[in-house]
Amino acid sequence: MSENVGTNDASSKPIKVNKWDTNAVKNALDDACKKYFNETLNYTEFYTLMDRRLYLSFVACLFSLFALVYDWFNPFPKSRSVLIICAVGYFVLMGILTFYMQFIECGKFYTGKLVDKAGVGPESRCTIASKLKKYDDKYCLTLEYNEGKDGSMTSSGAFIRSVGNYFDESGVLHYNRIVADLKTIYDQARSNARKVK
Amino acid sequence: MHWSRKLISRLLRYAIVISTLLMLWKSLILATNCSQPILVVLSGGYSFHNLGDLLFVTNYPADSIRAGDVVVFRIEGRFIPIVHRVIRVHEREDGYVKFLTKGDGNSVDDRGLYSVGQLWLEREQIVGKVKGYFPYLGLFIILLSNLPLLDRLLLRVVT
Repeated sequence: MSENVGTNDASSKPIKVNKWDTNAVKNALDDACKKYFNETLNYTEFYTLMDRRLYLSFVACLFSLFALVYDWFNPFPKSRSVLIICAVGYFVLMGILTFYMQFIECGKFYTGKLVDKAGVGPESRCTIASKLKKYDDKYCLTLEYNEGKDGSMTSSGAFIRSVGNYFDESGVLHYNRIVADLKTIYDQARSNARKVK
Repeated sequence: MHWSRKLISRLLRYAIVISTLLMLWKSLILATNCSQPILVVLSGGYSFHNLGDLLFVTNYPADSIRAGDVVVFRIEGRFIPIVHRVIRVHEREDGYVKFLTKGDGNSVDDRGLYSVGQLWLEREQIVGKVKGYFPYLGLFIILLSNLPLLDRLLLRVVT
């Protein structure tokens, strides 16, 4: 299960993954999309969605760490109330985290903003979400495009393609192919958003 | 993505897995009211429990300990608890109880194991009552306990 990451340039070492590892394949495709947006389209990535998830996890871990340390210094019967509070708190936070990942984050792996360099044009925001079921080959990518100060012009695009279109037999990712599909729906979404006024 | 964010994300993923296991264990402690709900028998031959048996222990206050019950108790100053059978219970009218235990395979009671001058076991020294056991499952833990640092962390009991 080897994954070679670390190519900063699409034209240099291509990314090779274990083609049977669904996770690695999805991550490679997601990384390629992020790279396209960051490097070619010059979007700035926003980590708010991910950061909120990290904060939730961090607070949950603090609860469990506190329970561990308190119980170590005050063995069981004395630490009962603290353990109850920490256990309940931890599982409630886990529930919130699951809810957050399932319904709020739901597959979104990239949120980016593009500010017009001249400062004249409107700023545009783009959110990409992807889904690839375990042992399935259908990669579903959804792109949501917002333009305008209050996000008034919105449109979205999506495609479902087999991962076989982007990887060859040895598991090497063909960056150009995924970028081509991504570019198509991006341009489409952009022109749709500008049409709707 | 900055490398620190990636690193934190990965660390937190592992931390969540470990925390979940830890919290499940603490919840088991709360549910059984026992500080060590699962124990592994470390030495065999002196009772009907064999080496490597996994014991399930509970410690409910309403569950009275009677003669014939197998209990896990800890002597002051000894780290590893002992699991033997209660052979005598001494109860006073005010509710104070004390116990005498004996290993099934032993010919004498445990007074030789208790602290100097102690003839009976107090209720606080009893970790809990053995409710059931699973044979041989704990052998892996015994193998692990041979490693130097894990010794103190693993839950073992002698019979």
